[in-house]
Amino acid sequence: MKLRNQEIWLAYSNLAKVWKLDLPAKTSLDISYILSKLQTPYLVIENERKKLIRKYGVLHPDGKQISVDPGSENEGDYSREFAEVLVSEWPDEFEFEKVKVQSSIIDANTLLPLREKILEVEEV
Amino acid sequence: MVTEQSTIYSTIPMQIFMINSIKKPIIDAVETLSSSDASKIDKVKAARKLWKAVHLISKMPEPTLESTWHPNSHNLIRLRDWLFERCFLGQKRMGLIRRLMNFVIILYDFDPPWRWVMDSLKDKAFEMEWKPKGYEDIRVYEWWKE
Repeated sequence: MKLRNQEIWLAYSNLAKVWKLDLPAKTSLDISYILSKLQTPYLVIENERKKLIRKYGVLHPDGKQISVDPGSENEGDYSREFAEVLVSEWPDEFEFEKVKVQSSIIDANTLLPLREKILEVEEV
Repeated sequence: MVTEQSTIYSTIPMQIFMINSIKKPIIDAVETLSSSDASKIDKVKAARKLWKAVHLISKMPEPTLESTWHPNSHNLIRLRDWLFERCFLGQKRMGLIRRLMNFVIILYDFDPPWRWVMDSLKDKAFEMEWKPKGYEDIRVYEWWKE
């Protein structure tokens, strides 16, 4: 299966949240397997995001944090370039089965980016 | 094949930028500019906000046949390109027209309620008797080349 970078970027952090829940051992293992497949692509995408923040962000007065000013021209450039990263397809195929989970244990926002390709939700 | 969910305009950073830095400031500014209760200072501030938001539209990728999914967005892109082969107003005005047309195409492509509004207007306009361009206007425009 092919995935777009946005699907990977959204799925990884949300799937990591699901993995931390009290799950049956086999479900937890299956999710761990998918996380391991998504981890490298996720880190590549996240590094690109951080690089763009360093390029277009400004240093806070505390000298520790860099962020992109909302409503600025820099925000426009950052958003466009990061969107170009996210809209691209990851070059490699992913091979994993959807993992069955119960909908009652996961909140809707976490579930949303996982429903289509990663998790098979069983309504209880 | 490009689908509704796979265009660059549907990505999270583009959505956040478009909603917070373009659509919301435009809606707020128009509200203030059309309010009889707003002070002159508020209206000047709103006009600046409006201009800034319009300027930021140019930071979005220009819609192309490859970057949009809806067949009617493709028609709008062809209309934009058709217009720009004929219309030669001043550079600044052409820049504004292009920005606004691009914004309308992007809205049409990814925002179903706006698409519904535009389609409804188009359908209603086609039911009306519409006068041709140049109706009761005998001038010859140098900036229009057929």
